[in-house]
Amino acid sequence: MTPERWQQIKGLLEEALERDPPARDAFLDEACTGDSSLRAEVEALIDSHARSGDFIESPAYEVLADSLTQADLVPGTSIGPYEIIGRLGAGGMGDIYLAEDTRLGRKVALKTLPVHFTKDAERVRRFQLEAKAASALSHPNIITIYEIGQVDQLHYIVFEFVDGQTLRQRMRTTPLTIAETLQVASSVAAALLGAHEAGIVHRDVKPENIMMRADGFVKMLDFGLAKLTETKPAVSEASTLFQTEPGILMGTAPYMSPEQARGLGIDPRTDIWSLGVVLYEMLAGRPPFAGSTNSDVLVAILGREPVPLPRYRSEIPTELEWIVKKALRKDRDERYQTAREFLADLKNLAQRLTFEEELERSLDTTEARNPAYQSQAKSSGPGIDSLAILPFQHNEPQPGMEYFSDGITESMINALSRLPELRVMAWSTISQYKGRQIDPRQVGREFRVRAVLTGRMMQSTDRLVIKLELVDVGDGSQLWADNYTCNPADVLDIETQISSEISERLLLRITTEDRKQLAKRPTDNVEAYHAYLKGRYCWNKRTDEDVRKAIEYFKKAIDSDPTYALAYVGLADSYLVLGSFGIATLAPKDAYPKAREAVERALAIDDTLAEAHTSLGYCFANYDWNWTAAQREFKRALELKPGYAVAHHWYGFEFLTAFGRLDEAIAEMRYALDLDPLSLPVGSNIGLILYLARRYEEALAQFQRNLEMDRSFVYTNWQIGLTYEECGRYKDAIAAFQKAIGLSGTSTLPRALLARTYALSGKKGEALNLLNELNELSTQYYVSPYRIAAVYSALGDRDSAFRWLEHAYESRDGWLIWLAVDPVVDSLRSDERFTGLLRRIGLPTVSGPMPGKQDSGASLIASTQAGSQNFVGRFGGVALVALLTILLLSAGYLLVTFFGGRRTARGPEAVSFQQLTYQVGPEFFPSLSPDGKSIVYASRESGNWDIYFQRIGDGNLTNLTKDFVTDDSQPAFSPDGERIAFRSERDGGGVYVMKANGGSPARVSDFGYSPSWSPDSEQILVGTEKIPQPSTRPTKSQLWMIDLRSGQRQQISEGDALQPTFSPHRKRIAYWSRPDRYGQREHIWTIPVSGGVPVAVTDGSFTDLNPVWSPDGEYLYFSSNRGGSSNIWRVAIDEDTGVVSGNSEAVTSMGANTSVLYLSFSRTGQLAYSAQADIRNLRSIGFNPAQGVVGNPVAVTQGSLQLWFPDVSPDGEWLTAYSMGQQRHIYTMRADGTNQRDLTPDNYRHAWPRWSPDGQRIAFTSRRTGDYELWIINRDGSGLRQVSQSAGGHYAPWSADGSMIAYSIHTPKNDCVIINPDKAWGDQKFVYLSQLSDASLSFEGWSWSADGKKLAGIKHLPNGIHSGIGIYDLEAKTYDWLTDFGDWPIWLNDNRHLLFVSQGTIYLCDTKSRKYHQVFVVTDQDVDIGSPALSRNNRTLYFTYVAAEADIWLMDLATK
Amino acid sequence: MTEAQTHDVTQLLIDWSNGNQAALDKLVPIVEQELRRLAHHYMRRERAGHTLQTTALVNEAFLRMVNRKSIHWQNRAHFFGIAAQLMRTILVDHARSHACAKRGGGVDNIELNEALMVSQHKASEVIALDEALNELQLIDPQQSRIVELRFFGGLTVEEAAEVLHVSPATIKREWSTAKAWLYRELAKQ
Repeated sequence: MTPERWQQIKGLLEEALERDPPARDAFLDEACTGDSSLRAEVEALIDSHARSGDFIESPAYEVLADSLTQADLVPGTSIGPYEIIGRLGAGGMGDIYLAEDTRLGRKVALKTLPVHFTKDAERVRRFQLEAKAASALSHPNIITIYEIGQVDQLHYIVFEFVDGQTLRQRMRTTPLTIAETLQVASSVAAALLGAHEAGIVHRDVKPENIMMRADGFVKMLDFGLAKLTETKPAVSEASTLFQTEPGILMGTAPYMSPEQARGLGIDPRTDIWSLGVVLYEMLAGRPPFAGSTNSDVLVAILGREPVPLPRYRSEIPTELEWIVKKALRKDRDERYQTAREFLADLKNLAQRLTFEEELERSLDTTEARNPAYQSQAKSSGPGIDSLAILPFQHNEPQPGMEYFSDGITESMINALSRLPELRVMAWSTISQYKGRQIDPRQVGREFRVRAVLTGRMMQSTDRLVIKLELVDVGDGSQLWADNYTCNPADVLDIETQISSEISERLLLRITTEDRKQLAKRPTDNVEAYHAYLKGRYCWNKRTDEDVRKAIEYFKKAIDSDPTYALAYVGLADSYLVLGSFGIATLAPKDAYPKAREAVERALAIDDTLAEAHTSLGYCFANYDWNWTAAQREFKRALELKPGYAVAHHWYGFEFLTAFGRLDEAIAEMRYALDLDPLSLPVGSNIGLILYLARRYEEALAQFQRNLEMDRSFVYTNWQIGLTYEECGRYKDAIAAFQKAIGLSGTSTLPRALLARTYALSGKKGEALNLLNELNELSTQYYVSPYRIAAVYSALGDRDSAFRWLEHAYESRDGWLIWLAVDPVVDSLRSDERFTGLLRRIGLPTVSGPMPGKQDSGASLIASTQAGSQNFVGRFGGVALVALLTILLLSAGYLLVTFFGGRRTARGPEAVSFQQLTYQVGPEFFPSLSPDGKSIVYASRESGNWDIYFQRIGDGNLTNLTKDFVTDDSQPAFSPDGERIAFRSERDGGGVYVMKANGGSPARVSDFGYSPSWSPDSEQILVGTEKIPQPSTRPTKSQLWMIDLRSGQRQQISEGDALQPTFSPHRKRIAYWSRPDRYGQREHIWTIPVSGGVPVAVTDGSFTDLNPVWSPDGEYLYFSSNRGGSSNIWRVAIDEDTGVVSGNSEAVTSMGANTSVLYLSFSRTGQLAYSAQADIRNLRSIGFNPAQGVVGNPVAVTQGSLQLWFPDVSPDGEWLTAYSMGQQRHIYTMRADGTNQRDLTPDNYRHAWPRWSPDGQRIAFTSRRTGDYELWIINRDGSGLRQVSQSAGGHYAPWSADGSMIAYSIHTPKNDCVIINPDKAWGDQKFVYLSQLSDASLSFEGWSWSADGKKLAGIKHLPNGIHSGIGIYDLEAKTYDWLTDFGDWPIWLNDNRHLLFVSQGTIYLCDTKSRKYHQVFVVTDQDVDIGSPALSRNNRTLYFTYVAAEADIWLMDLATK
Repeated sequence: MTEAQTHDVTQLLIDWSNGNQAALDKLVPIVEQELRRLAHHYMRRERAGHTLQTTALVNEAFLRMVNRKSIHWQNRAHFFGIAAQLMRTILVDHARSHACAKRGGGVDNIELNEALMVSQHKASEVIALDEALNELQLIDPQQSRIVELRFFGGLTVEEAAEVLHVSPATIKREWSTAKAWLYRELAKQ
């Protein structure tokens, strides 16, 4: 365009714009006569003018403000303890700087978040959760996140600084070789594997996020962070210029998976796709899916297949091409399902390629004992006390060679296991590393061994070359290396020679006897040896079929070499396993004599064979019940070969367990697992002992770990079933047993186990059918009479149970040895016949402290309920209620009572309970459909709160909101059952309504929580505040009604009002309300629907929450802690007036550690609720004031005592804490949790114990007088005395010299007063802290600094809410508020730093600079940290680990 | 900002307006830092929900940087003119360094497709606008200058009128058609 033409156009444009739009056409008709292009130009510009709107109306400066604020960290800027050195780069997620951690002097990378992200509080919260989770990832290939912090508005992440380049930068230089490519891809796959196992999906795998160190080591960045940047994958128009934030990107287009491109949910397979793309790009030099715009790329991803790799590079191996294709399958079900599979393929290929290469080189050069390759080894290797010998690698992929190389490895392991000073990893673990590319040092670290031996074998026609290298795991140095050449037939000579050479290299003390043992060859016969190896391999699988195969192999070995003692042991062990508890297809009388005979043969050949003594011990224990002999044999075996894992395993499992020495048994088994970490039988049987020890949670965790190694290992499948059964999780138990039946071939055991679960879960018919089936099978196979007894016991038929136990005794059934500890026979213990049986077997009647039934935890709800159902089938009517009551009382858990109230005659007559949900983490907010047939509720299982739908009884779950990454919760069925109202955080949050199948969600309000429907479905009530922990509420919740038709909103009350519900006839609204003043509690109120004066329903000193109306409107049910713990109560109410009549009555009576929350009625009279159980235990972790926490947390206490609020004794050796629950007692224990002692074994409540500085006394608050008062007791439990007479009080920290206690007196507010613990209350000279400027606030001292000058404490708002921490200077008499959040500040011994806790995080605060940072974060979102304690040397931190679990239950209150 | 810096900025601006390009190198970091400080201020206010007289803010950026007593400008208008030019230089440079990609800029595909965050998106549009403005300069230098003053310099209609010695009505009219032209240019891309 020329200037002249523009002037012409501009002139016309101006004139046209001055006219009204309708007049413009006429004007242009005239002005542009004959020049249609002129007219088109002007019209186009008129159009642009009309659309330009705010375009460039805001100055560039403002447009760019966002980015200007980001990049403002100039060198020298301090962010917390970090000083910026320079900028490393910019990314979509913000800028990255090189910084120095001034505390540690180390370089770190610091990433800032774009300011516009942090404007969204919800997003920031989500980001922090994600980042916290990611920061817990500890993997060599994942960049370590050190800290997630915030200074003012600036959010940042600090992570490990990696000096290197990104894969993107690397790819720009030269093409990667195939080997490099495989190495990078394997490292990334390994990183992904680690993250996926921790539940974190990366979401944005791309070359920019892959760092390559100068030495080639690969580290991945930004785990889980991509979630923050995720918006809808809509490709935007450019026309929103500058004024609105276009919803542009998402992931990174070329690396996005089809499911991401479609905006579907993502999972670990998404990362696998992206890695596939990166792999393709490394090989081809370009990404597989390209296009000039994002939308083109997305189209390609969704619809096109990439160009075949060989077109770019001919030398790409076919296998690699196949691997890439498999990663890039558009249907994610066809892709690699796990990073583990992907990694395995990559590594196998890499290994094969390397080996081929090496072989080519070595075959030319190797001649016997090549001096050039001779040892340059360090002359000494002191302190090597543990060793892993990795599977020798070999060049021939043929099976013969494999057994050969395995054989050498295993027999070297066997030989070296004899050395008492050396822990050698067992073959069954090592063998799992076969055929894998391994970093020896990494393996060494995993196994915690000091040295690793690797070997390579190369065979050419008649020569065998073995190259060996011994590496120090600590520093990676080579301790020794050597080459051996021999004729394949002479391999056994070489082996002995190598073993003794290694032991010398390790400078182990070797006695002559040891040397003799080392020189011993199990067999000279190679064939026999191969057969033996195959036999052991099959034996380890523990199925009937495999073990029978093993027998054949061992027999073959014996045929080839009749003097091969180990082969006899193998034979014996096979019979033992076939005839014992786990497979039991052979009757013990058929199995044991054979085993015994084989063992005797072995011992006749070599009576120093540890393996044989172990097997003999097993025979004595399991068949002869000759316990003395059994112990003797096991001990002998352990002397002969301390490194024999099986000896530790069986000694623990067969002997110690039988005698109830369960802790010792577990320790013994754990040592076996140390030697043989990947052993499936050992891992699983540890779980079984935990089960026998009633440590079900730990047992389940142990089984899960084992299943992760191999899902098809049959023992674990039925053992986990047993545990589920004992926890009352019958559905899970049945599934587990059914799986075991599928896996276990002819073994009848899982069927017998299943029959018991059927019996327990009320499926008597199925149980009896199975018993019949087992009866038929027993003609052909052995059926364990013990397990049949267990079924009859579950059916309540004691006589049959004992009859079958007698059969078990006669046939010497393998299960009998655990009679003293087995939970399945608990109900029979009181019987004389039982004690008689124990005596006859030679087992103690009471075996040490018998673990009682666990009395807490959600699992128990199930078992109790199960008991009730079991009886439902056999009794009826009133008898049922009575029986149920007794049963529940005896379980000490759940009692259903109906108190005699005004209307009890009309009260519910039949009551039953049913657990509806079993998801991981808490399930909250149940809402029953009006017909009582379905339920919706919220669960966080998917990572965010989602609403789940379940048809009661079928167990199938539907996640109705799975497509939304935002939290969706508080669902409420509409009265017609067709719709669900719920709270969602989508688009800024609000109340939504969707169809009952999750369809057509629509927002009905942009505010509000806890929606509930009017009876005519026309209106929805909401409160304006989320339901929080009642004690931590910041604001007032208003009560609003939303009319769904008109959209009109009406405020009914200014509040405070939460969880409002309409009465059934729409007369009143019930809700609960927070008290205005401290010391008062939450209570239930009602208000007329039209508004007006609220009427109180409850009052008193209890917390009453969550009212729901009974369907007839005659009662209000609510959750209340009256009676001590949170339960369901009800009160009769007049729906018109809100006037209550009669007293509140308890509907449920749960144990102290269970809270009942979130009630929902169906119209048919069923009541659903969440039962939440917190489990508290003490843990410890190393601490270093400069570095924060060190190492991993260690469990101090385990079990059901619910200990918390720990305090450490001055010498650091003892702890005190109190138990939470109905009985709140003060305990002392050693710092490792042993020697627990109840110091206050009485019926009162006690809390907050504190050691006196001399360690002799403990101050605590006790309710012995009715009010909490300060008491002191000597550490040995003597000298209990009351100190205060204050009519209520709180915490009581001692001063460092023990002469003072800062005691918080419970007045209308709280007054912290300093007293002398040794004076009578009447003689006290109270020293008051100075008045707070805001008189409504109060301060409670929690920790006294070592110099006695300062008191750290907690700030209370008038309503009792803890609102941050501060310090009181006792000299200056001034307060200094450090934070407005957090709790439980404790001083470090430097009088300067404090630790405090907030929401699962422990912070370290410098009281001088007032800066604080996180030192410890619990990432599991359902876990919280209670108050911490710190040892006086500041090296050990104790804290309470509080895990929450909540399941939904259904209670049927229907009148008949 | 210290006395010494204030003096420097004044002198450097004078030098730059006299054609000394080296002065620009020294000016940029000082001015950019100041801009960032103000941007923070702006963002904070924006978050707090306040709308802001950004024009005033931008002017403030300069007025804070120079010692008004020692301005040896021909007049206030000249000062704003130079300032706007400087702002354009700095802001476009900033946008370039910030945006991973810009449309049709010959950057390879990978980067083009990288996660363009909102601010980067805006940055690339500022760059595009700068280029369109260069085009406009060829056919209508005055309009180009008006956009520079208003968009990059943040001047009000009245201030721009003062700088260019024309009436505010002219500025309004020219602004309106320039906007239509630029909008069309950018939409073409």
